[in-house]
Parts: sequence; C-alpha cells; structure tokens
Amino acid sequence: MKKSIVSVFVCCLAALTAEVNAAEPLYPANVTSLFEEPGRLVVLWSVDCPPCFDELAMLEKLLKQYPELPVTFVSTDDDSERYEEVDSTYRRFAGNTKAWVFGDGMAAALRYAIDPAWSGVLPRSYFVDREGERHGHSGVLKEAQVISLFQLSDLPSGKGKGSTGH
Amino acid sequence: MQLNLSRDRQCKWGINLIVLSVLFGMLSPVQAKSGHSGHSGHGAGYGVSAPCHEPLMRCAKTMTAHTTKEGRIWFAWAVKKSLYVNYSDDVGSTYSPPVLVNPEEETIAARGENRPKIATDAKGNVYVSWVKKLPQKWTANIRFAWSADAGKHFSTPVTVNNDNEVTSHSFNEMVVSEEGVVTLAWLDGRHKKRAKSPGKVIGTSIYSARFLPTKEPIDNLRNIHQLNTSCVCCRLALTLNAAEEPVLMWRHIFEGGIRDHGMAVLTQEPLIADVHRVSFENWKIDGCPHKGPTLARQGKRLHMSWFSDSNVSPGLFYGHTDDEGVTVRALLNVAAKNTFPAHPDLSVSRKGSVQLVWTEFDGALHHVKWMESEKGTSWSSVDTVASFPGSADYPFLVQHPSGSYLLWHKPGEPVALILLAGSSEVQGSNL
Repeated sequence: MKKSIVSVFVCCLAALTAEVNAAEPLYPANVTSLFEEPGRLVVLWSVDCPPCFDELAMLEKLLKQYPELPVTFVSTDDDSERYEEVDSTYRRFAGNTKAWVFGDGMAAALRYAIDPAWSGVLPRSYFVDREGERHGHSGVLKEAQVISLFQLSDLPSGKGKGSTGH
Repeated sequence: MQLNLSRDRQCKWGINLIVLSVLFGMLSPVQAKSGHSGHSGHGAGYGVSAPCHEPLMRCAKTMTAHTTKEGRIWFAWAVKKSLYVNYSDDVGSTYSPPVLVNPEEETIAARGENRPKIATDAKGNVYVSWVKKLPQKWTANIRFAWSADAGKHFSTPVTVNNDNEVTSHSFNEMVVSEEGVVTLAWLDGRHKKRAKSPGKVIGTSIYSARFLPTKEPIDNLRNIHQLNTSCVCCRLALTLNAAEEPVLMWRHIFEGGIRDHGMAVLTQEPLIADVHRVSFENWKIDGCPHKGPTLARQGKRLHMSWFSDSNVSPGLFYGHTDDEGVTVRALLNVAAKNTFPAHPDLSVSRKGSVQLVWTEFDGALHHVKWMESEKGTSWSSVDTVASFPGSADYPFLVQHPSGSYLLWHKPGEPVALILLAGSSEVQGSNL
C-alpha cells in the first residue's frame, strides 16, 4: 500500500445512492456553514454559465466513482423562477453532496458574504483545508486536478463506492 | 430541501497540498463575511423574480431606453412572454400605452445584457431586437421587428439568424443610423456546435446582419460570420463611428486564453485581421467573465469602459481611441475591484460631455456612481447618484434635451428617471 494511501480516510457507508432533489436557498447567514467542514470542495456555478457545466459533468462522473467525495454545489442563480432549472441539474448528482441555490435577489450580498475578493466570475470553487481555511479558484476545474487534489488515484479499488475504511 | 448525506466529521479524504497550493492559491485563504448584510432570511426586500405579471413597466425585470433627438424616450420591456414598447415625452412623468411587439407569445430574454434593444432613425421608424429563448438549455434565436408608423404597429417579428439550428444565438446588440441602416450583432453558437473534434475549441462566433427598411426584405437577412474567437458567455458593445459605420467591442479570446477586449469596424465582409486589442489586463480565465463593455462616440473619439478581474490589474477601466482601436489612450482604473464595480454605461450628453455610470456594492447597498469629462482625458470627481438595498436592473444614462438622467429600474417599482444635475427624481405613473 502506498504511503499516501495512509492519508486517505475513506469514511462512512451512508445512503450514498440518494439523489439531491432540491436545493436549499442560501442567505448570507448560512454562508459560514458552507465552509465548516475541512476537506470539502465548494463549487459555485450558474445555469447561465456553459463552462460551469463542463465542470459539473466532470464532477458528476467523479461522484459516480467516488460517492463519498465531499462536494457542495452552490448555484448563483438568485431567481426563484429559475430554481426548477437549477434543481433539474442537481438531480444528476448523488453521494455526499450538498446542494444550495442563491436566495432570490441575493447575488450581490452572497458574493460579498462568501468572498469580497470574488468578482462573480464563474465557475468559482473553494477548498477547505485541514485547518479550516478556504482557498479560492476561478475557472473550470479539470478532472485530473480534482483527482490529484483528493488523491483519488491512490484509492485501492479506483471505484470509491462502497469502499472500506482505513 | 437540502440533502446532507452526512458523514463523520473525522473522516477525511487525503488532500494533496501541492495541488491545493498551485490550484487554489495556498497563500490567499479567504474568510467568510457571514451575515454581513444582516439578511437572516428573505429579508432583502426585492428579488430577481418578476414581481408581477401584468403588462406594466414595473413588472418588467429589465428596462431598455432610447432617446430621440427631440427628446422622446422610448422604452422596450418584457413581461411574461410579451414584449412591449412605449414612450414618454415628459421625461417619465407620463407614458404612452404599451404596444405589443410580438403577437405570438415567446420567451423573451431579459437578464443583464441579454435584453430587448430599441432604437429609432431620423424618420421616426422604431426598431426592436430581442432574444427568443428556446426550450433547450442555452438555445435561442435573434428576433427583430420594426415600426414604420412611429411605434403604433410593428412588423411581424422575424428570426435574424439564418442557420435554422437549435443552438445559442444571444447577446444581441443593435445600432441604427440616422438614415435607418440597422446593424445587428450577436454571439452565435452554430460553428461551435458543428465543431466535430472533441477539445477543438474555436470559441463562440460573432455574427452580424444589416437591414435597410426601404431597400431590403425583412426576412432572410444576410448573416455575416465575422469571427470565431469570442467566448460563449462574453458580451458585446456596439456603436457607430463618425462615418456611421458600426464599431464592435467584445471580450475576445486572445492567445493563451487571455480574455481581454477587441474592437473592429464591422463591414459586409468577415473580419480577418482587423481586430484591434483595446484592453490589456491579461485576464486569463477558463470560465464566464460575464460583465460586458460599453462604448460611446464623441466626434471621432470612441470612449470605452470595461471590467477585468486579472491578477495584475482588477477593477473597472476606462480608455478611448480616435482610430477605432488602433491606439488606446487615457487608460484609467476607474474603480478598484474591492468596490465590486460592474455594469458601466457610457454616454455623451447633449452638452457634449462624456459621462460614465456604474454600480458598486458595499455589502449592504448597491450604489450607482457617476463621473463626467469634457473629452475623456481628465474626469470629475466620482459622485454617488443613487443607492438601493435590493436587486435592481443595470444603470443606464439617458441623454435628454433637458439634461442627463439615470435610468435605474427596480422591478416592482414605477420607472424612475433621476436627474443627474442634482435636481429631484422624476417618478412616473404607476405603469
């Protein structure tokens, strides 16, 4: 077993096949909770952002392989008339995911609450490190980057789903 | 409902710190500003969703205006699946009854720059262009109609893009010369869709079309494939130069994935090598920059403003060119990135000065900022001309014989024009 595998803590066999049915509207008071969990990837996207869907497709594929991957999705579509479209996208995802959508009319306040240094460019992602600090990235994440970030290629089965813990 | 398929907080995936450092910028962790705005729930007061569905101006999400030389202010706005046009001859105190442009209902894009456009010519003809959204994601058509009787009736709407493909056609811009030469430009996905090779990114195309109401049939307008290298969520700005030729400014994909702006005079032939780079922040981003540029002409001078989020120089910028982008002068960082500058609109007043408005956000309030210059070389101090806590439309300058006004539509409220000379706000009837 490779040394790096030691750092991989594969956890709980939860109800990982459940789908994300509907997103929870996000308000500034909820923002801190997005980033409370060390090791979580938070992905911001919009139905108006085609490159975001390249990233979502990549994560959809990875989540099928590794349902325990801790990913939070946040749609920035702060228009309740578009929530149905947002939710239809979320139905693609299962696993250890959390799904949010910006509260109606709250885009500016939420952008500010999430990160005053973020101009709103999409896709935008944050990774919470072990110390709980957030690190931001603008632009499409590539599969190889996420695999490398989470050291997924080192998982023994390469499948993740139903994996045994270490 | 949030589905939190909860996991043991002690369980962690391995984290590749090198990747984290390179990809996410290890040296720049960010801290949340939780609850800064004090919104603990649905407390912002104004949402983005339509506040009402009646054929009233206040029910529209976006409001587009065009002012004639004589001072009639035309408005184009959409509610539900209907596009309406009306006007005001008294700077917004009263409005004419709305005229329906599209007799057959269609989903009309009304968000940000992707909104109906309206213009007139010296004869009083009124022209309207908009984007009809199709059911499939990111698919739409460019639509057009015009009125030869001063806006009483409109021609049957036509689809301008001639490819008959269900793909993206969006971010329509329109300019009309005094003689009534209509130029339309838009982002077009037909070539991107046809590109067979995976990974062969050609960018999104820019197309244009010209319409001369007295000389050409309105249907089957010739589409001109100008170039390919814009991006799918970039934006356009269009104006006329001193020779009344259409000049386009757009966010271009330059070598290395740099998304700064290009400029070119549009002709009836495709652009080949006549793209001039007019912004130089070197913003490298594989994503959606969204925020679009603005253009205004003053004699031979073209004034420009745009946003960039490059690592080196982020913020809102201004510059001008006297040769359609060959050389750019008077570059100015108008607003720093940390003020959340967005949505610039440039316009030349009836007195000849150039004015710029844009929005900033301080965590609680949106502010519209304004500044003025004689020629674009030195500027007045920046004034805050309006503030609002909720979601509002983009700000636009309205240049009227009686003065310069700000149009800043707040869905759910009567349309308001704010006199920028410091006088009182003109608020319309409850349309």
